[in-house]
Amino acid sequence: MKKISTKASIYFLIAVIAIIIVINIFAPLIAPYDPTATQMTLRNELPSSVHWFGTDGLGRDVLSRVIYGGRGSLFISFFATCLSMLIGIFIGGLAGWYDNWVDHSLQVLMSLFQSLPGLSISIAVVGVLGPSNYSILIALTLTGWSGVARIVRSQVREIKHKQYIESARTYLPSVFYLLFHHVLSALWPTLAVLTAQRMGRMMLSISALSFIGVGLQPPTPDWGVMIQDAKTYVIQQPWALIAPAVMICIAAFCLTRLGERLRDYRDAQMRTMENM
Amino acid sequence: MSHLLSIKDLEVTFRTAEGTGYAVTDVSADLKPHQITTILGESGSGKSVLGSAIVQLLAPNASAKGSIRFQDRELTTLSAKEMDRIRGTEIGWVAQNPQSALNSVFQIGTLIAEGPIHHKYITKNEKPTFVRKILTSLRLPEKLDKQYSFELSGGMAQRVLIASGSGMVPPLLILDEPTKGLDDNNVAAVKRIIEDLAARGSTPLVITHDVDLAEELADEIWIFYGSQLVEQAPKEAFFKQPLHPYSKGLIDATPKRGLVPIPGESPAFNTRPVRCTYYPRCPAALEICRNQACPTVTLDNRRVKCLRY
Ligand SMILES: Nc1ncnc2c1ncn2[C@@H]1O[C@H](COP(=O)(O)OP(=O)(O)O)[C@@H](O)[C@H]1O
Ligand SMILES: [Mg+2]
Repeated sequence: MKKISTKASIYFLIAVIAIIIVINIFAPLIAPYDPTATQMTLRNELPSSVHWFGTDGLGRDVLSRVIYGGRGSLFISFFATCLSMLIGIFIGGLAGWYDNWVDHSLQVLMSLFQSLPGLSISIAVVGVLGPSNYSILIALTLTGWSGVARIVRSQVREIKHKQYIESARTYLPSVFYLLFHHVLSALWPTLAVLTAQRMGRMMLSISALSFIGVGLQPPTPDWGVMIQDAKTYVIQQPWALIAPAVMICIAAFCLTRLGERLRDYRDAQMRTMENM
Repeated sequence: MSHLLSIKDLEVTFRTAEGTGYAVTDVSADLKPHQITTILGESGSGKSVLGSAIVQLLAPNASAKGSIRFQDRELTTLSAKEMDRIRGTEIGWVAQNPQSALNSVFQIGTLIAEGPIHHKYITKNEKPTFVRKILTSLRLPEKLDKQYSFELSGGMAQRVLIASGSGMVPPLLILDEPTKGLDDNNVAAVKRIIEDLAARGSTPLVITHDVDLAEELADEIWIFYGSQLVEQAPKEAFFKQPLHPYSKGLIDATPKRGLVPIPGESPAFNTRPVRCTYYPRCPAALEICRNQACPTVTLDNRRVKCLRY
């Protein structure tokens, strides 16, 4: 039996992620009900032809809430990922390029931030700034950039000794251009891997924060919030918990898995390049 | 004649796990403008290191002593910023191994124009015209500007690399092994390009181990052996009568002169060489060569580092 090719599974994972994103973007057109409309007479209904996943403890349509439920975490994790990548690339790039005090001090900074316990810091930040999308964004960026920086730094250390970089150095006056254009051009595969991985992890973190009540706040239709809401009635109406849980798993799994598959693909490409 | 480049008592050492390596020692030379000078020597003799020292791009584990004057500036004491301004505009460098010295992610047009754009030699709008002009002058097809280095043959890649290093017609252009691995047609093309650049005002300093190329291209020949310049001479005089025993050996080892190999191996040094570095292999060695320091003597318009003179 032939194994599914890396490329095919990359396409498949991208397709699944794209579908989830599209569903969330077009949620107002797709969702059969208003996700926040309560119906006190129809609480904790089991799935039926009217409410496919049943209703929750306040009589809200679970399917509609699930359809809306990724918006917050997808949106925030996307921006938090972009921000951490930008900061990580900038700091890691400089640290990797220079061999002097710049590298030493940036390394101290990286270790400092990397040694912070992620979830506790997030809770602390949200605790200080109050729960809002911005505080989640800041919390995730604070804890996310240092890992990116570390990987970028070690890659830049290798790439800067490549002949095409040394050659470009002989006619380019700007180290910044050389670093963030030439060196980075070799880093795109790694950055793609990192982006997917980070975003998967951040989605999980946001759901965890929402679940413990310091992330997105009720009545926002969010998968993490929904799990928290549904746990009281899990015996009567398990679907209100299962549906968002499954969605979180699919989204986070696809993103992290995509990261791994992209990494495999990159490594295979590099091997063939080296054998050429 | 005034000099474009004056090197005095240059020494370049490398710190390695095995100790200190001496790659360039006791090198003094003056480069005359408006003619082609070729540095000829076997692999590992220190030619590329000498070139990197001139453009001040030595590896981090290197340290250099001595003086390198370019026009009226002492390069060894210039700030990194000033050196950045000189590199590409006044001193060009064409690296060896063109296929790996070209970034395969960017289009050829970008690689040719980015130096001149960043040095404000041309504006972004002038890029297409500039690239087209350069490509034509190198007898390359114009459509190359949208291609990538991995799509090029070795000969084309070499010419593109020359283009990216020489676009601003720097007064001094150092080319490291520009014909290595090329077939005869491409060697001829590269030779023509170097001559063109010389005619347009660049002074090419060509590093090579190809004696035939040096004979066809050079006005002035510098012979590098074992980290040192052992002979400097005008081409005609050199090939009529090489003075240094190594020069004789080098010429006799070429295919058209009988392919007589020089016995022994190229040296590597972990202490500063005191006596002649060629002594262990020299067929004409004298008794005094064993333990006497070997100064460089000037004879008419040539210089030789050998105790026989
Ligand atoms: N970064 C480095 N570290 C240690 N040794 C080096 C380094 N670069 C060059 N060398 C040594 O310097 C000597 C001269 O090298 P090079 O100038 O490249 O020779 P070539 O004449 O073939 O261009 C060699 O013995 C080489 O091993
Ligand atoms: Mg070399």
